[in-house]
Amino acid sequence: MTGPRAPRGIDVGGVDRRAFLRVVSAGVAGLCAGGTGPFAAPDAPTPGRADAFRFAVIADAHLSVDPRNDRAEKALLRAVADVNAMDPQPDFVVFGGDLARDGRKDALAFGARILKAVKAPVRMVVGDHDRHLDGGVAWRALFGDDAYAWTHKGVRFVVVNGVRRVGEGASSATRDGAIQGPLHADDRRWAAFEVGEEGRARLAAHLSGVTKETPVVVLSHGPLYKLHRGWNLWTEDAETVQAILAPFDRVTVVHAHAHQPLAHRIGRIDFHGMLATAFPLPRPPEGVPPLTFPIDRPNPFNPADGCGIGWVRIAADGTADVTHAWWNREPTTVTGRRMRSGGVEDPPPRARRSSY
Amino acid sequence: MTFFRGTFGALAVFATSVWFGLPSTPQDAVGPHGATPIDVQERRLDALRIGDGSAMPPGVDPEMWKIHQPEDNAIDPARVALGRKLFFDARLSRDASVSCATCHDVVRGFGDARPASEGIDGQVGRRNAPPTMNLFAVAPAFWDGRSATLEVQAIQPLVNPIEMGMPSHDAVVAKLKDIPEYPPLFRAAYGRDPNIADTGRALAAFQRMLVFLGAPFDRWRGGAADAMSESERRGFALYEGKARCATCHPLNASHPVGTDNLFHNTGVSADKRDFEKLVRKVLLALDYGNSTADVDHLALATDMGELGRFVVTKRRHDIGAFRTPQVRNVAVTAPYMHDGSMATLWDVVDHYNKGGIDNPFLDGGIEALALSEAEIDDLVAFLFALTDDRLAGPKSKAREAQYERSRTVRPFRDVDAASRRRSGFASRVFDEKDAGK
Repeated sequence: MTGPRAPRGIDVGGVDRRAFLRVVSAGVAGLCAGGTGPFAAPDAPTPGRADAFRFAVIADAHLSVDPRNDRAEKALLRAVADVNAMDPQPDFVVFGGDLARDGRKDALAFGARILKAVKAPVRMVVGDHDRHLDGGVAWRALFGDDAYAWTHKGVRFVVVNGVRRVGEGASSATRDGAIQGPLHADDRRWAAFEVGEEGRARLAAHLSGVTKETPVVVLSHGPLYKLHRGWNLWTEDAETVQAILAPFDRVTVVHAHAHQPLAHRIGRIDFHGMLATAFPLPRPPEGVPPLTFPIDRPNPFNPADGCGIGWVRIAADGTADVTHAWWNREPTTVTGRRMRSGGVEDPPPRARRSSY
Repeated sequence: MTFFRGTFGALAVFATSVWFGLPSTPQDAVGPHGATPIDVQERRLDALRIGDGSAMPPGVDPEMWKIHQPEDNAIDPARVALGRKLFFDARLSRDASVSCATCHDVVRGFGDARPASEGIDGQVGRRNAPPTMNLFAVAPAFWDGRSATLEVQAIQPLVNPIEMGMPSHDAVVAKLKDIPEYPPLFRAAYGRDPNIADTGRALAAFQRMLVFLGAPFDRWRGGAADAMSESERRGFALYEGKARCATCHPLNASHPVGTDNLFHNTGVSADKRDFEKLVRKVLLALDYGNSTADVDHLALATDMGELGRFVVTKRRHDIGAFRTPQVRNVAVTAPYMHDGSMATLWDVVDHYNKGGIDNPFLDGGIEALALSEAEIDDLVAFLFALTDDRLAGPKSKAREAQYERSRTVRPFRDVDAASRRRSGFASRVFDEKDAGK
């Protein structure tokens, strides 16, 4: 990013630099259209690979709508400003779940109002906190079904509800008011997450008729694999879910809930944990997958450190490069090449401070 | 927006009229660009008894001094003497009207007591002149940290077109070689003929001697229980506690001047800027040139300078972030903030009390503080107790003027926001009319 670059989107041939600066200082803002945003894609789509695209991910906003503590609300607004400044714009923005801290209707509605400001289309994923009070009734009333699928530029996107509780019942819709209890993630009284029989059937149905060469992206709040039961970084029926995904050549699972970047590969399925906007969580005491890169311990004096947004770039061949755009650090990209090579290619930058 | 600009303009004029020349006595003559005449400044400097460079300045922890001494510019009387001469020498500017001391006026707390500084041809920049006191512990330099060291910083204003306006550093060196007193001074200080790097070194060596760390606060912390009044002591408790100042302005053995030397967006003037629009402008401008001089120009002469640290790093999280200024002697360095937009320390505390001005890049540590009026008065009293005893005269004048103004004019006060009855962010989500709900 240092040194003069070729001008983009505007031809000023013959205008010398000083003159240009004068023009700019005179406030000719109209000159400034084009791909110059701070999130300009380093690899803009090249001709012949028209299918390459990006989608952005915002996750874990944990809104409480309490004027005495508006950090989470400000953080989500910052995330919205970030995705709106992406240039070129992402094709769509995935909200990865946990919009509300405890699933209150007013918090969910407030979050929906904030997300209205997102310029690109928004795709919602339900989180465990969103379902906390009523099993997801209020969430579904605002955002619709919590399991759905669509095809975008040749890639099959499937959203699953990965945060049902084991033993919750066949249909969460009948469980209104049933999920009550402590919010502390480390509390063993919580049942583990699962996709559940119905969820798995819907996942399979959303993938039926999809050829195995088609790139598949699964969006879930829970991780769809097993790291650490204590913090519910755990999907009880992970193996069965993975079996549904196993036939496909390229599967990328994008999940939230961990509030930190995680990277894992099981068979041909890549798993990526994304950044939260509300607060970072420490590394779990066990089960951190080996492809996860070391990160500097977030600065406890800067509430924005360790948080941020992310985006996923899907190349024409379906390879997914996942970028974690930290709010207080340089962005980190975990390439699909790195995942496929078992962590040999494209090593990430080393951490400078000691980890947890 | 027109309304804002009008108000802001009126405020700036008012702040200038209040502060202009305040620390000096009315009968003082005025030099070019409104600065105190150089001979008056030099006499004042002599009276302040700063060191000549033969020993480290008093009041500094020897270990801290050692840490901050650059290897290639050890303190030395010849270097300090040369730096002092350069500091006051207006011949180093294009029209021989501007010296370092024009904007870093010894009589005005080593600043210029105006919102933004004036350079050659009466051009006014966009940044408030930071005081050149205690710079031994301050790095990187400038409000946006665009120079890593004081040595590099010191030579930038020489060639900035709206400050001292010299066409190039070579022209500065040629001028120095033409002035008969300089070559021998350079040879005595650095053992070679005048050159631009040694010019920066000498200026840095001189400025590092400008240490003002002998405040009532230091005597109080040294054990003199009565060195600070009860109000000032309560203010210090707030500084370290409820008011959260110490997070970014730590005052301790390893941070003697009260800055974390980092960059934060605290929302100063954020309601008057469209950051995203400025970002697009500056990235395009930097495509055409991002040399030191280009960045210097963008920072001082264009509205893009309002992006602060971003102009240097191009990192999104640096948008609107400026370096944490020191709090030492803050009583005598009004007006405040990078744009000099706040006339009194009451304004500054009002700004932080309401949680800054909301914008997407606001530092996460900035929150509404719910300080009461009595607490604000205590906190400001403590800030005045950070003034070196040698500046006691200007301090009492400043206290009188600031106190008087604060009883009637408080443009930054927002009690509802400070007490969280209203959230700043809400107005970005809801219409103004239901922002309070």
